[in-house]
Amino acid sequence: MLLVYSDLFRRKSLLVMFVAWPYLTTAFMLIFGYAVGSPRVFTERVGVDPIQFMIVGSYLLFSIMTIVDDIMWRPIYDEQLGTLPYIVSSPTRLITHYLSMPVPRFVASTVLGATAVFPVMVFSRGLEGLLVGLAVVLLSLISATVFTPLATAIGLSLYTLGGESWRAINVIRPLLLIVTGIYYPRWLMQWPLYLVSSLMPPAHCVEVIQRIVVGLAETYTILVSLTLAVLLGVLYSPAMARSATAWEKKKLRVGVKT
Amino acid sequence: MRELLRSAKAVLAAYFVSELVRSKGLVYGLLSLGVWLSIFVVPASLFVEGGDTGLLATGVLIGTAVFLAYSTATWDWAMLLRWLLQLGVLEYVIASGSPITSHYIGTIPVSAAWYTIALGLAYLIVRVFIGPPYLNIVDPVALIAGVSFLLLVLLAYSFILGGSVMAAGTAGPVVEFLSWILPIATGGLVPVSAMPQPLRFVAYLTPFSYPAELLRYSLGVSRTVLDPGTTLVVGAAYSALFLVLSAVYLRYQVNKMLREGIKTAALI
Repeated sequence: MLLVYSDLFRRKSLLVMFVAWPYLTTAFMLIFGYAVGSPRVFTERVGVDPIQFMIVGSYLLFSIMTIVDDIMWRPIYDEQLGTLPYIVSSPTRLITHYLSMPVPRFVASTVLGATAVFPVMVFSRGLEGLLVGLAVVLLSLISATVFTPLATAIGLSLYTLGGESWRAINVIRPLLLIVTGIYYPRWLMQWPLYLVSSLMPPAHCVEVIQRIVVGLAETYTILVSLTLAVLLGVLYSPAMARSATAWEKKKLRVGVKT
Repeated sequence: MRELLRSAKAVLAAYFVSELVRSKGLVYGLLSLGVWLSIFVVPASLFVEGGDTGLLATGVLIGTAVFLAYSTATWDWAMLLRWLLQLGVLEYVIASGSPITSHYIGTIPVSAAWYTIALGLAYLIVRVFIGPPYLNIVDPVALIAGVSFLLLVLLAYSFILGGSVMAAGTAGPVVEFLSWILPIATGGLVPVSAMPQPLRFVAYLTPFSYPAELLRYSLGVSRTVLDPGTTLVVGAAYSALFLVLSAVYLRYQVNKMLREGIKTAALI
């Protein structure tokens, strides 16, 4: 955990970019949207002004991505750095290694919420915005937690089947984000996409977050969605364990590339 | 010159075989691009009212084309130097007497092919999610000038990024910042006329706005804020000057590297 933080604080330009990213993507989405259409149309369709919706979407994008990236890219980094043999041969179980990976990022994700979501929400809604911001950050952490088993299972299965290929990860990663519905409310999705989206644990948390921001959240809907998210997270856990074992066995069988 | 072309040909063959054929880079790259474009284009459809969306689709397609051009210049050309640094082969390239520009020239055909296919994919995505774009050439001279200036500016931009990579040893945040901010702040994504007044001023201070303005004007998407003739003349002068200055900067960084040694590249 300390190593992650010291790395983050040591590289100041990276830290600045980490804080600036949600604002940049929000600006990108808004400028693009305003150029092709009107914020009024967006508000009528979605139920909230695009600034609030997009800043929450951008925050979710980076808070989830910072965790998923850590899991999915780590084997490639470790292989390139030459540390993979030490990780595979370490007494710590591989599954524990991957499960612990998102933990330091939770704090970074909370900081990102404080710098991105809170200012916009408080400015737009006052005290209510503070509560909405708290709910968004808390639910984003749950979202990342329930996503960990699936992200690990997909990442390590890909590595087992096709080697440590960053190209495949580059396709899978944004695809997972689309299906999660970060920038497009799930309740507006076409039903086939909605169905696929329902299999993704974080999609349910993201829907709850979006409903809270829009003001469509009901206790029953929140409870059902969060229960589904946790249930799916638990259901994908055996797949995560199997993929970690398979990847470890493959590394021991074929060795690590240098 | 013959040596330069021979080096460029070798780079082209190596890059084509290793990146596109052996690693299936084209297939993965297009899939990734299609998915990322959809992430940004699909939410934009939430802003659009029903009815005739042709002009909007054209605007989105041109914005995407300019953005793709910056991405190609960033990730194909400038990042090539980071790749050479990471692999630890940059010193061998320099020691061989082959100029760094041979690597830029060698990748141009692959980049051009990639850009064309990527633009076709962007067209399909825009057509599906927004509507069919209008593609009318209103002013052919402005179109040719826009494309030419864009190429000059892209080459210059990649020289500056490449020089920065060599200077810093890492350019992840710098590259990401520049490759995002540039198209937004300089009228690459939206017409300068649709930007707030302070941003218009910033856009016209950079060489990047002029080619994009000429492209949009030539395809009848929007009018230029400055007179089209003035945009063309200033754009030509500014693009050429920018290319010269960036070549000087790259040369300076190469010379500095020869004095101080090669920096270690970071992964991000």
